[in-house]
Order: sequence, then C-alpha cells, then structure tokens
Amino acid sequence: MKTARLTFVLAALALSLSSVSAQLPEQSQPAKAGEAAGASEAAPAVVEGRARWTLKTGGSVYSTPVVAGGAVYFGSYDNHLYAAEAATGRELWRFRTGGRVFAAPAIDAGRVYFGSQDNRLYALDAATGRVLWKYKTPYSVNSAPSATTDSVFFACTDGNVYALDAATGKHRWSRTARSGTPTATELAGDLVLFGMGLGVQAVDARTGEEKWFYRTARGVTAAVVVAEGAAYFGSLDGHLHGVDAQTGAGRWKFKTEGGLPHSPAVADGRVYFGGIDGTLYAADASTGRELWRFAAEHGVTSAPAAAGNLIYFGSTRGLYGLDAASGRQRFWFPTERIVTSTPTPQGGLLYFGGWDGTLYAVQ
Amino acid sequence: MKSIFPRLFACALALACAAPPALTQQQVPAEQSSQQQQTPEQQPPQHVEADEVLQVNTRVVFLDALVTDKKTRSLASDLKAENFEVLADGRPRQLTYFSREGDAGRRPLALTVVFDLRRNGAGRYLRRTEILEAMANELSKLPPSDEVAVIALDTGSFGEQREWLTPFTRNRAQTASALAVIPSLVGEGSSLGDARPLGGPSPAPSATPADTSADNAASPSASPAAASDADEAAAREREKQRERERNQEGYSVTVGSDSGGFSRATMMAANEDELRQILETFDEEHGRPGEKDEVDRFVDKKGREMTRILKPDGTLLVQRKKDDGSYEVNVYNDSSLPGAVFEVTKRVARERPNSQGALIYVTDGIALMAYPERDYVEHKMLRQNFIFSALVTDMKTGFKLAKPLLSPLGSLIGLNIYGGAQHIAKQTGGEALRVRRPADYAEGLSRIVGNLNARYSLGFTLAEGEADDGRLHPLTVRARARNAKGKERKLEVKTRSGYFTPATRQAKPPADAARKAADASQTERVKN
Repeated sequence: MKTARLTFVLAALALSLSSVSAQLPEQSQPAKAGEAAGASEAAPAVVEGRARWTLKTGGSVYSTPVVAGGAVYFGSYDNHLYAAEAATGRELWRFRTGGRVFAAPAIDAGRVYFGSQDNRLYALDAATGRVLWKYKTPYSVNSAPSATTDSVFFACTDGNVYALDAATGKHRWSRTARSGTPTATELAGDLVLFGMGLGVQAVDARTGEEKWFYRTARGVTAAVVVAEGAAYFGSLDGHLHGVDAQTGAGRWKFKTEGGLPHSPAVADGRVYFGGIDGTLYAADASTGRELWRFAAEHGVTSAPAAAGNLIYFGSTRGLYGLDAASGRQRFWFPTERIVTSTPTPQGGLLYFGGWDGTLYAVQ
Repeated sequence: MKSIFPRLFACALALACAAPPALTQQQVPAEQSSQQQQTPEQQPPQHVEADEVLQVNTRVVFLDALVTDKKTRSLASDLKAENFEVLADGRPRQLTYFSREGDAGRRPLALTVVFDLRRNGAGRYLRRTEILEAMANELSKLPPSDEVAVIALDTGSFGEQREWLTPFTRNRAQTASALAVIPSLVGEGSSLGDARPLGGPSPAPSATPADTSADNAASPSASPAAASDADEAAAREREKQRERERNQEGYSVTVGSDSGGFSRATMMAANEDELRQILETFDEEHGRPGEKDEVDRFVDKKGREMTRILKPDGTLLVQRKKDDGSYEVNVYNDSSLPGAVFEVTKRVARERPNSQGALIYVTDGIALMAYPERDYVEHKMLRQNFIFSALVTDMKTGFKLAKPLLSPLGSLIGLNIYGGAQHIAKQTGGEALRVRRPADYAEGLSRIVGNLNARYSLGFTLAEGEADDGRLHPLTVRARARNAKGKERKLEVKTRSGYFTPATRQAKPPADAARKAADASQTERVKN
C-alpha cells in the first residue's frame, strides 16, 4: 500500500507541476507582492497609498503631470490645461484649448509649453495662465515638448519635429522623421532625440540636421530617456535599447516578452521598464544585465518613475510601488480606472492622473 | 495484482500531465488545422490483425451556426443535431459532428480584435478612453479558456501598417494594457493617405514647413532647408526610374491626399521573363527578409484562372495569363486588412489549431477596400472557418449624403467604398454592427462575443472523391423545431456561405520523415 500511496502522491504532484508550467509562458498568474527573481526574504506588508487631495476634471487625464514652483500642471481630455497648488490641489487657473490636451507640458523660465489636439503648441505664463504665443501646426500635437531657455522642441503628428524660439514662438527649423510620427523629444547636450517608426533619430538642436540614426526592428512609440551619456528607449519589438547618446552606437539591448510602448526610468545605475507583457523589469544601466522582474497582476500601463527607494508605475487598476533594489511590491494605490499617466514624485507626494478624469496627489 | 492498479492510474495521470493541455481538452489532434480539420471519424471498433495498422483519414467540414427565433428575436439554444439540415452544393449532408454552448468539448475562441486607427475614420473615436475601457471590460468577461489578440492597423506612429500589440493571451490585464496604448497610436494619415505609387518606397520626407503663419505671434521668417539624406535621394531616383519603366508597360493610378485616397497599378508582361522581372521588383520593395509571399490560385467569376500573391507588407497582386500568352498584374494596396488577416489566419492555424478562429474588425463605414482585397479576406476567412464580425463606426453626415453617389462610382473602379466589412461578415456568418456612442462599442462587442459563444458547431464528413477544386461550395443550413405547443418555430440560421474542400493528404505522399510524422498525427491508428 505504501508504494500505491507514493505513486499516487507523485502523480498528483506531476499533475500540479504540469498545470503550472502550462500557464507560465502566458504570465497569466496573478502577481504576488514581492515576486522578484532571486529574492527570498519574507516580504513586508504592502502599504496602501492615501490620497492627500484629488482634482476632478471633465475628461480623462491621459498624460503626466509636471510639478514646478509649487504648482502642478497637467492636461485633460476636457480640452484644458490645469495649474493647481501642489500642496493643496487648489486650482490656480485653467486654460481652454480647442482639443484634448493629450500630453504632458514642459516648464521652463516661467513658461508652460504644451500641445493640443486643436493643432497648436501653446506657451503660457506659468503664474497666470495668460497666453504668450501659440504656434499652429497642420495636425495634432500629441507629445510633450522639451524646452531650454532659448528654444522649445516638439513633435507633431504631421511627422515633423519643430524647433521654435522660446520667447516668441518663431519657427527655427523642422525636420521630418524618417518614418511615421515622431515621439516626444528629449535633449542630450546639443542634440534632440526622438523615436519614430524605424528607430531613433538624433538631430542637431541648432539646425535640425541629422546626426545619427539607430534602427530598431519595430517602431519606437515613447520618448527616449537620457542619463549619464546614454540614451534608453523601448521598442514594439520588445527590446529595451541602451545606446551612446552622442553617437548612437549601441551598447546593449534587453529582450522582453512583449512590446515596450512606454519610456523607461533611470536612477542609481539601474534602468526600469515595463510593457504589454505586464512585467516591470530592472536592469543594470551600463550592461543591460537583468536585476529583477515583477509580474503585475493588473498590467503595466504607464512609464515607471523612481522616487527614493521605490519605483512607481500605473496599471489597469491602480498604482504600484516596488522596492527599487529587490522588485518586491511595497505600495499600492487602487483606482477605478486605467492609469496611463507616469507618476511624478515631488515633495513626498506622487502626482498622477487617471482615465477617471482625476488628478491624484498621493502619499 | 493489488499494486498494479495504482501504478496504472499513476501512469495514466502522468500521461495526462505530459500531454499538452490543448490535447487533453480537445477532441482533435493539435497539429490539425482549424479550418476543415481532419478528425478521426467516430467509427465502431474494427477487427484487424494483431500487428496491422489501419489508417483512417477523414476530412470533416466544420461550420458554426447561430440560430435565432424570428418571433422573439432570442437565441435558440436548445436545438439538437436532428433539428439541423445541412445542404452542401444543394445536396443534404449527414452531420458527423455536433456541439453547442456549454458542451464540454466546446472549442475555445482565438479572437483577434483588429483596430483600424485612421484618424479620419474610426481612429477619431478610438482616442476616447471610455470606449477602450468599455471594450476591455467586455473582453474581460470572456470565458477563461478564450484567448484574445490585439492588432492595430494604420497607426501614425509606426512605419508598419499593422502592429500586433499582444499575441493570443488569456491574460485580460495584458489585453487591457494593449487597449490603453491605442489612443497614443491613432495616426493622422493612413495607408490610403500615403497614396504612394505602388511598387515603390514610402514618399520622401517633405521639407516644406507647416503653414503656421495664421495663428502665430511671430510668423516663421524662413523655410527650413530640406535635410534629405543621400540614401533617401537615391531611393527617390530609383522610384522615378521604376515609375518610368512601369508606365511604359502598363499604367498606375494614384489618388490621394492627407485624408484619404487609393492607389492602383496595372502592369503588362509580354512573357514569363518579363513577368518574373516585374515580380522581382515587388520583392525588393514589398518583401521582407525571411518572410514568404502567400500564393494561391483561384477561378474568378468570369471563369478565368487567376494567381493571387499577397506580399508580406500586405500589398496584393492579382496575376492573370491572357489568351495571347501575355500577363496582366494588378496591384492593390488600399486596405491594411488583407495583410492582417493573412497573419492572423496563419498564426491561428499554427499556434491555436483547436480553437475557433474569430476576428472583430473595429472600423468605420467608409473604409476603402478594393474588391480583390475584400475577396481575399472573404476567401481566407471562409477557408479557415473564421467568423468575421465588425464594429462599424457611423459615418459622418457628409459621407452619408454622398454615399448614393460614391458607392456606384467606387464600383466602376473596383473599389468598395462602403460596406466591405458588412459584406465579409455576412459571408462568414458573422455580424457587422453600427456603433457611435461609447456605450455602443461595449454593447456591440458584448453581442458579438455572446453570439460567438452561442453558436452550434456542426460538421459533416467528405467522401474520398471530393477533392480540393479551389472552388467555393455553397452551404445552406436550416433548423427546424417545434415549440411546447407543437407548433413549428420560425428559426433563422446565420452561418458561413460556403466552404473550400480541404486538401486530400494522401494525394501527396510525404517527402521526408518529418512530413511522415506530421501526417501520422493527422490519422487515427486503429490497432487491436
């Protein structure tokens, strides 16, 4: 009878192992808090975030808020750009455009720059919301601009990247992307970097002349991130790429299980990135070696952001916070609807928007 | 003897564990194609000699039927096999396979949702978060065994005309994550808007700046210089040269603007050598390394033999040999749907052979499609037994008014301006529902998915002599039943319009061991 029992137990074990292995490739198992590779110590409790304040708008908040000078600026599907007091959420002003404000604004030298689906890029006085100038484009401006004291750069869905005079909005140059719509621009010294259908292009910030081009197997749909002389970006081919920001020379690439439609985050020598496969990855920024991965039960729907020892990102049901060193889940803030807005940490609070039309300030 | 039973039980369990889950759940072997699967016919045990292997190779034509009560408009879900009558080529066929919703052997869905993201079409609605979230919620209600893949067509962000945002997955969070990306992918132009000369590369980047003066505080004082690369210039020159050559041999038509258009070319070749040269040109521009063309032969409505070539980028070539020995090649690239359908059907046949393939096309009422492209999609769907459904965004008022004029004009030039999705849905037994408000998308999707699950799965066995003749065999399905009072119920059946005879595998003996192994798995071995 002992043999019979043993064989029965072994068979039952084989059955359970088989059913687990059949599901692993799909990564459909609910993520457990602290599902980091190689981590074995007991996981501390996951802290549930608490909203310090919320600000309701009339449409989804798809994009990322920006905090500067004690105020938080963000766009909404209700066609407005909002400015609110960062500490209290008190609305300072709102500016109405003729279309959805889809992407994040850029703040520099007391000016707020942002695009709208009414085919314009706006420059407003950050303190009052008064319009300084506006620039008409053939199509929507769906990506965040980048600004210096002197110039503002932005991508338009007409396929061009534009450089304007920051003070007057006067056109300086424009450059057609090699393929498709360029992503939001990113500055790297004298270069302006942007992704597009074939990879990433770098152009001279003064002239728009192309300096280098890095080809990927499929499109790059989110902004490049520059840190420590390197440019990092994901592609829909599922790779995260690390390249030299000045030359475009490839350093390494990291293969994930799905497309990477969001920008990565870089902090303390690590790069964090996640995509449609529902996993957030951490890799060594200089080598691309994987450090940990976290399978998120509710998916990954925004770019991550690093704040202190934690990495935050949006999902279909709320905001995750992971330990940056181990990948264990430490924080959770539930929302009713999807979060595509990258969380912005500032002054002990996290600012992000939701498809429910709310801007959250969470602690 | 006591210890043998547990061991046998353990062995059986271990075997069950080792078998792929699909095999343990399904009735047909995994290698079989989902279209007209070759299933072992359920036959009574036969007596054969001890070492003799009898191979039974049967071909079953499957069809799904949705039955509604005409009087109550409700689904009739209580029918049995004997309530159905199937006619193929007008001849009654005996059902050898029958299942309905709730049966243990129900095939899971391999559902592909294809989003047409042209901004001037459905894309303008698919930027709305409430629509995408409502769709994600509906998809999350699918039975756990059903799988969903998401494809985006004509996105502005990519060089590609189509992108798989997720492969087939049961993970609903992945599906929702893919849908969450869609608002950022809605393009401004379209494959139509490109209106590029066929056979050539994408248009060179324009150096002209946007017309920005009207609104600006300070108008741009100078145009930026064109920063074109040497390789782009060379590509343009190559294209011009090809265009010159092409125009000597045939003609091409390109009508387009930023908001839409179509592109068509016809090429003539005096002989096979010239034909080969033309086709090589297309390989250069429309091929992809490691990807093959799909080639099939068919007979058109006029009885002419045609060859259809789908290039990996979705460009469709229809080639015909004329009576004088010359060739005519027509090239179509109006719609991105054929390329997507090719990939979906291939992937389902390869990766999900035991699933019921279904495709939901989220598009608008004015999606242009050349008739050969529409026919190609219809052909693939019917051959693979896919159910094609569509959520069709209501047209703008202007287009509605112009429809009576545009549709006949389109017909004259072989262009399906309106109703392409509706036509394919009707042929494959699917549904095309009109949507406008965000709630319509959720309701429409819910209805389509509900009806996919409520279908009866029927099958009949082909005789040995019924070879693949490349012809569509018309199907008619009738359902007859009586209500509780004994009165005849008025039932309406929605099913595919026909089938293509599956290939007879015995006709081509296996060329190598791998092929032998593949074929062996498609037969039932009856051994006493």
